[in-house]
Amino acid sequence: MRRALRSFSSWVLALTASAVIVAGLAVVHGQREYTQSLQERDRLVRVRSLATDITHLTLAARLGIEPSYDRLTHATLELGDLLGESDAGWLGAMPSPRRSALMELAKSRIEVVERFKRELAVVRNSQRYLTEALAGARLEARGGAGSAELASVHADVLENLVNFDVRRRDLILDRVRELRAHFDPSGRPLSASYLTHVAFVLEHGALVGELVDEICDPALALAIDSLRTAHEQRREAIVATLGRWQIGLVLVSTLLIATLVHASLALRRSAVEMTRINHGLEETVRRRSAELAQAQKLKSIGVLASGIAHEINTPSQYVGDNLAFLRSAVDDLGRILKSYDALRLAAEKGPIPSELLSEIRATEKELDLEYLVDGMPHACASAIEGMARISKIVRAMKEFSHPGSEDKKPTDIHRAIESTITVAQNEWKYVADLVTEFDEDLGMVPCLAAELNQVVLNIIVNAAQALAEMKAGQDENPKGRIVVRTVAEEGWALISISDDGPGIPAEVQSRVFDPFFTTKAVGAGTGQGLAIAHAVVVDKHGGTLEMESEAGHGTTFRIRLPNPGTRAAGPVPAVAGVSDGANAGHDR
Amino acid sequence: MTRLLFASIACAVLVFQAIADSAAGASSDSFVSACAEPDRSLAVRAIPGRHKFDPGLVALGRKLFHDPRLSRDGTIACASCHVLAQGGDDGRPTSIGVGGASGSVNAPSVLNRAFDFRYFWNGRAATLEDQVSGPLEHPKEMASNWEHVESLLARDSDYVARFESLGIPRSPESVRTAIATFERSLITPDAPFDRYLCGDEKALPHEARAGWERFRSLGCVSCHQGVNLGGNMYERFGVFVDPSANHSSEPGMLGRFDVTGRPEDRFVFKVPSLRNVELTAPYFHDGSAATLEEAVHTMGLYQLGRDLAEDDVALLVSFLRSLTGRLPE
Ligand code: HEC
Ligand code: HEC
Repeated sequence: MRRALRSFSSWVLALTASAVIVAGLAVVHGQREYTQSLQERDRLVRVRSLATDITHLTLAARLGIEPSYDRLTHATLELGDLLGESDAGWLGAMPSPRRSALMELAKSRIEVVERFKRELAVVRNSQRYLTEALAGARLEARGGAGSAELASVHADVLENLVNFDVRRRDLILDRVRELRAHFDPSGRPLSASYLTHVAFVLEHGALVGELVDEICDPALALAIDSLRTAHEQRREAIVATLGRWQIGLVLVSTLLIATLVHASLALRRSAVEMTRINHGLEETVRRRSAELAQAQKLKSIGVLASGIAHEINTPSQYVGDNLAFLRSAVDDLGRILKSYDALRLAAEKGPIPSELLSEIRATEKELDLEYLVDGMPHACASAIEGMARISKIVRAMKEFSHPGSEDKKPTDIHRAIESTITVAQNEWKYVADLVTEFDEDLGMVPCLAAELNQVVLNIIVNAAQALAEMKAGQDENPKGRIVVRTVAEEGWALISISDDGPGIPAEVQSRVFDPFFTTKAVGAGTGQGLAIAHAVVVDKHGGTLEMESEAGHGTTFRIRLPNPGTRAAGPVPAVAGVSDGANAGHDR
Repeated sequence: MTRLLFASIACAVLVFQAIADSAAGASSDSFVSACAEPDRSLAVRAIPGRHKFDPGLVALGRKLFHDPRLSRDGTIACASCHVLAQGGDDGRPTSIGVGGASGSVNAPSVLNRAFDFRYFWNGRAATLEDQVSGPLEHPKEMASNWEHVESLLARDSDYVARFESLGIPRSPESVRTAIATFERSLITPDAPFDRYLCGDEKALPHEARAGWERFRSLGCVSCHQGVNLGGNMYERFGVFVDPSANHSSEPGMLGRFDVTGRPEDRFVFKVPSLRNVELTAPYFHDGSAATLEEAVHTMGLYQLGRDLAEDDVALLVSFLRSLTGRLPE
């Protein structure tokens, strides 16, 4: 039930989170669209005002108010920039037929403006020329040369050309024809350039008018306006969508926050729970490891027990045999003593009957008195010796399994090792010779004797097992060798235990102190032995435990215990011959 | 008549209002104008006195502009045909490019080009940036390409450092920007005529002032107008005369027609700026006029439909000489 609830709430969390992301992205996208559309609007507004400017500036140029084309030119350039040359990519969001129609319009509008500029310039110049001629004609008219009427017709024509209006074109043409008719016969002809300029104004002046009309045509402005309306609608749609997404975002964010708060509360609760469980687990682990250590100890004692039984068995057997001998000897001696007693009584009464004597002789012979007398002290000695051996083992056992104390006590390390060796005798006796080389300078070392014994035992048993394995692989083999050595170092007591067994493969060396690590078959070892050794030496004694091994050359364990007795505990002395694997097994 | 006048006045009021509202001419941000109050009734305007472009970018553009290694064979720089100290052109009727190849049109000046509305005689380039590829890739000019230029820039440690310090990539884009910016910085202020426009009556000699009067009354100013006295419109060359008698009508020599293909665009060219015109002989798109006098006389015949008197030509020429400003160093 609770599990289902939890997975449900994590689903809710994931859902709301993705909803927030979706809404957030949509809002960001909408905002980008919105800003972009604002920029587009600004540009459209600018385009619109450029279209107006162009119309106004064209009119201004036409009327001669703005004699320079600079501003008109800049306006068309900017319009061209915005709409003409490029594909007006900024209008990308708008429907493409509308867009291209607008661009087409703008482009042709710009061309018309250019045409207008150049036509106006030349028309204006011809009008200038004619203005001069007009002034001359007026002068002439006033001066009275030729008919005044003719002069006034002349002036009228010119006036009309200077202030050219297309609508009067036909009228002007008539007048020009009239003028020509007058002038031709009477002599002074109109100059060629005069007629050229008249014709020019008539033709190009009309063109200018048409161009201005085209420029003032509202088509461009209307196209822009309609695009603006479409654009406005689009922006409104964008704003509406954006608004909806924003509301959605607020909603899902609130939901997300709520879910998060809920989840964090739940998390806190479960964190408290976890700590509690954790404490419980830690407690269990502690208890378990203590149990394990105890179990290991029990196990080793169990293993040892059979060996020890065997050890005790042999001496107790011949103690028994000798006692049995002594007992029958004592019986026999009793019989002989009885016959001696009868002999003494007979002797007190008188002469000893010879049959009594021969009877005694027969008994002596029968019981082999000589043998008895000779054998008994020997049997006694044997029995005593057997008892001594038994009691040694028992003492060693007692010493070995002396219940550990909580505090370190000054301990005779050598005795402790001896008893451990003795206890383990049955383990190594058949596979190895065990040699001890004790440094007599090593006094009493403060330690937890029972636990240290356990460590030494573990290591010796390991060595013996390794040697046994090696022997099992070979047909005949001399015994291996285990050397237990102590050295009094400055501030430290060193116990080194070497064997010349098969060694530990390099790839597992680094793991030998790990708990539960074992190379033995499953069930054969707990994998705790060396881990416990490490815990005892390093953790409980503040010492060091090193292992040095090379496959094929044996293994050496070095236990160093702080030994303030000798001197203050100095730095751990350098390990001699770490890389010199050949030395392992013959530590010196 | 009165109705027309009335309408005109009404229109004028309206238009003035609109103009007052509308923004001032473009590109004014990058320049500092020379005189405080320009006279709006004139078709011409004094040139700005200073520019405000990034000096680093201008310096890079200057280096590129003068670097012959940009061309295919390493012999021709932009500056080979646009000699800044000689008015920004090469003084030949037509230019000589890579391997002695000679082109078909006259090289215009690169000075004061910031104020032109389009580039090349036929206006085919919209901006100075667009224009750069033209000479660079033209087989008769520099006959180069952008790969060549980019590899040059990558090899030259000075270029590498300059681009780096400007924080721009060594791309064709940046090269175009740098060269165009440099060209925009090439302005020639302080011509006597500009000082005159700014109110210094004595700046213009008597003859030049008379020439200026002629320039206006004859109508030169209808075409040669604006800040650059040209460069803001197209115009037919030979309004009153058919030019094909004396000028080539080969493709490539027909001005706007080569761009648009419209019959009315034959011999229509960008009206050239007359600033520093005394330094940029020979004249016209084909370099056909060797002297200013010749050019002015031709203008009268072709553009105004007048056979200008020698006096007028002389006055006009002395006015044109007053258009020479302070050349960039
Ligand atoms: C071989 C001589 C030559 C070289 C080199 C050359 N130009 Fe030109 N330049 C010309 C000619 C000729 C024209 C006119 C071409 C036309 O209008 O079709 C011209 C036109 C121009 C124009 C347009 C001027 C105007 O008024 O429209 C500019 C700007 C310009 N060149 C800049 C450059 C730059 C920048 C370079 C170097 C990348 C360069 N030129 C290299 C000969 C040259
Ligand atoms: C109708 C317009 C128009 C008028 C009016 C006009 N010009 Fe021109 N002007 C042009 C055009 C277009 C060009 C370029 C022609 C070409 O290069 O083929 C030009 C070129 C020039 C040039 C040569 C510039 C150069 O760098 O090549 C000079 C000088 C000149 N005009 C002076 C004048 C003078 C002086 C007047 C008055 C007498 C005048 N123009 C009147 C349009 C005009």
